[in-house]
Amino acid sequence: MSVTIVPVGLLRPMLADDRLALAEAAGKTVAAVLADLKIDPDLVAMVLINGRQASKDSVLDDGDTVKLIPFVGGGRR
Amino acid sequence: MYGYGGSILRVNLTSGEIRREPLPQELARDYLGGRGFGAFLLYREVPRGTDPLGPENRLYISSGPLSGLLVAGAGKCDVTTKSPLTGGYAGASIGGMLTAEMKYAGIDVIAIEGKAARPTYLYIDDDRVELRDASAYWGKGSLTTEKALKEALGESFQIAAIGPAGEAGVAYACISHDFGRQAGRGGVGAVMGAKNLKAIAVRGTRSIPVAQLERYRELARAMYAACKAAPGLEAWQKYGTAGVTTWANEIGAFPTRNFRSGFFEDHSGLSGETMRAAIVVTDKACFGCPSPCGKYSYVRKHGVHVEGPEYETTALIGGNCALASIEDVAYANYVCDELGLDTISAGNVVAFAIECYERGIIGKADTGGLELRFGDVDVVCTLLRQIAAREGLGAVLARGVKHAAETFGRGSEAFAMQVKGMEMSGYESRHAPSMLLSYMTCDVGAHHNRSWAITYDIARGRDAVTPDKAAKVIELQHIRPLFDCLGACRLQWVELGLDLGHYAPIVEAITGLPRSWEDLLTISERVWNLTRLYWFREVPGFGRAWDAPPPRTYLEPVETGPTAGKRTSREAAERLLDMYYEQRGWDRDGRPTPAKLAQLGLAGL
Repeated sequence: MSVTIVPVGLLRPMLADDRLALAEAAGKTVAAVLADLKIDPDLVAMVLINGRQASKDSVLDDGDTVKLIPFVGGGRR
Repeated sequence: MYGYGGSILRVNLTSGEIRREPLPQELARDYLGGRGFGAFLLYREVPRGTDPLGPENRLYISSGPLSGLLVAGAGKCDVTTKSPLTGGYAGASIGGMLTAEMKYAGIDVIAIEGKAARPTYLYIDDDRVELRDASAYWGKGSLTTEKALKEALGESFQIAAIGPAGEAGVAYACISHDFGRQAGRGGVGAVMGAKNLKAIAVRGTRSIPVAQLERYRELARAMYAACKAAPGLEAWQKYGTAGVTTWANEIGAFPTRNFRSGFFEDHSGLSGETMRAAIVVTDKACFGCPSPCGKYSYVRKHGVHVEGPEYETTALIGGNCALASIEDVAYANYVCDELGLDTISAGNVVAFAIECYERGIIGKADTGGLELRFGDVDVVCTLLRQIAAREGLGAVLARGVKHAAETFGRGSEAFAMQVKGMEMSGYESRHAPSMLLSYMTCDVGAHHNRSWAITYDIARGRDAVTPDKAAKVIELQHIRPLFDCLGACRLQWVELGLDLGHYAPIVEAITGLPRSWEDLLTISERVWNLTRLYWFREVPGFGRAWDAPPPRTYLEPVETGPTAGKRTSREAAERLLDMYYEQRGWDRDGRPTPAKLAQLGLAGL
C-alpha cells in the first residue's frame, strides 16, 4: 500500500501524475511530503485527507488519499 | 430583447408613481447588465452632490443577461447607489434567488427614488406592482421580516429586507435575502432605510426569451458537467469559504486584533473542518448553482440558526476580535444578520473600538461602563446592538471606522483600517503587495472582491513590488466585476477552475449578440473607469491621496506569525500606484485621461 497524492488545479503541472502513489509516505507529515515533492506549501491552500480537511502537520497513514488544493484566485483562462 | 427581462421598473416612493420603461438596447449592448446598469444609471440620474440618505439618491437593483437562466451560478444581483459610508460609489452583490425572480417578472432593473411617508414594502407579482404598508414589520430583524413576509405572501415570493440597522441609517447597514445572503458593503441598507423602504417582495412567472435555444442548452449542460467534474468541487462544496481560514493563517494574512497581526494563535477553533463538525447542518446554494458553498448552521451553544459564517465574517469578527470559538463567531454573525449589519465593517469597527479602549483613547465614560477587550463575544454583541440602535458608543461607531477615528483622535487614525472610508476586509496585506494594491484601488473602498490577488503574491514572491503585480490587479479588476455585470457568480471559475472560455459563447447564445470575451472585458473596463469618474465627481478633492492604504500598513510591522516584522513602506505603496495608474491609462493623480475615456466610449462625461 501507499499514499496517493491528488494535485488539483495549478498544482497539477508540478507533479508527474493526476494521482501520484508514494510508497514511503506513510508516517510522514503532509508538510514533509510537500517538501519531498518540492511544492511550496503556501500554494497549497487546503489539504484533504480522505475527503476531510486536515492540517499540514497531519501524519499520513497507508492507504490515505491526499488532495492538495490551491486557491488559484483567478487569472487568464 | 433576448436574455433580458425587458424593462426598468421605476418606483417613486414620494409620489407613489410606479411605471415600467423598456430596457434600452444600447444600455444592454454597452453596459451588459447588473453592475454595468447600476453604474451607468447612478452616474446619469443621481445629481452631483446628492445626500446619500436623502430622497434624491436612487437605489438600483439589477440582474444581468445570465441571471435566472440555466447557467451555472446564474443567481447574482447587483445593488448600486451613492454610499452613505464613503460618499462615493457603492456596488454590492447579492446571491440567493432574487435576481432570477426579477427576470421572471420581466424586470432588469428596479430603480427606486424618493422617500415614502410611512414604512413601506414594494410588492411585485409579475405585472402587479404595489407599494404596501410595512408598519407591521418596521423595527423587526431582517430574518424575522423575511419569514413573516413569506408566511403572509407565500413561499414563492423572494424577499429582500433591511433590519433595524438599515432603518436607523447605520452607515454599513446591509440588505438581506434568502435567510443569509446580503448585499453587504457600502451602506446600501441605510439607503433603503432612509427611504422608509423595509422590504421588496418579488414573484415572477414569465420565461426569458433566448436567441439560440438549442445552442444555449448545449452550452449550459457543458458548463454544468464541467463544474460537476471539477476536482476542486469536493473541497469547495464541503467547506465553502471557511476553507480559507487555515490557509490565511498559514500565510500570515488572517486579520487579528485590528490587523495588528496576520496570524491568530487560536485559529484551529475556526477552521472549515471544525466548523463543519460543530455547527453545519447542510450545504446551501444560490439559484442555478452546482457547487453549494453556503453553509446553513445550527449553533447549539446559543440556540440560533445562521447561514455561515463565511470566511470574511470569521476573519473580521473571529480573528480580528480574537474570538476563538466558531460557535461564538456564528452567534455574532446571526446578530449581524438580524440587525442587518455588514459583518465585515462591523467586525472591523468593533476591533478598532477595542484597540482604542486598550490604548486608553476611550474609556468607561465612553462605553457606559462596559470594559472592552479582545476575545469576548459578549463585548462584541453588546457593541453590535449599540451600533444598530445608535446608542452609547454605537452612536459614533455607526458612522464607520474613519469617522470614529476622526472623533476619538489621539492618533487613532493611524490604525483605522479603511480606504476611502470603507473598512478593510479579511486579508492582512502588509506582506502582499498585489493584495494591498487591490485594497487601495477597489472602487467601493477597502474590499477584496474586485481583485482577490493574494494568491499572485504567494506564487510570484511576496517581496516583489513590480509592474506585473499592478497588471495582475488590473486584469482581475476587469474579469471579476464582469460577473457582476453578467448577473452570475464567479466562484465556479475561481474555486472550481471552470474555463472562462465557457462564458462568451453562452452570452451570445442567450442574447443573440456576437461578442468575444475581450469585448465583454472592454465593457468591464468601461464600467471600471465610469465608477472612477463618479468618485472624482462626488468627493471633493478626490485623487491619489484617496487610494492611500491605512497608515498602519507602513508605520507598524506585523506583530506575530509568518509575516511578523513585515510592512509595506509608503514609498512602495506609491510605486504600486504609479505603475497601476500608468497601466490603466490614468494620470498621476489617478484620473482617467481623455484618451482612455475616448477609447472606452466615455468621452464627454
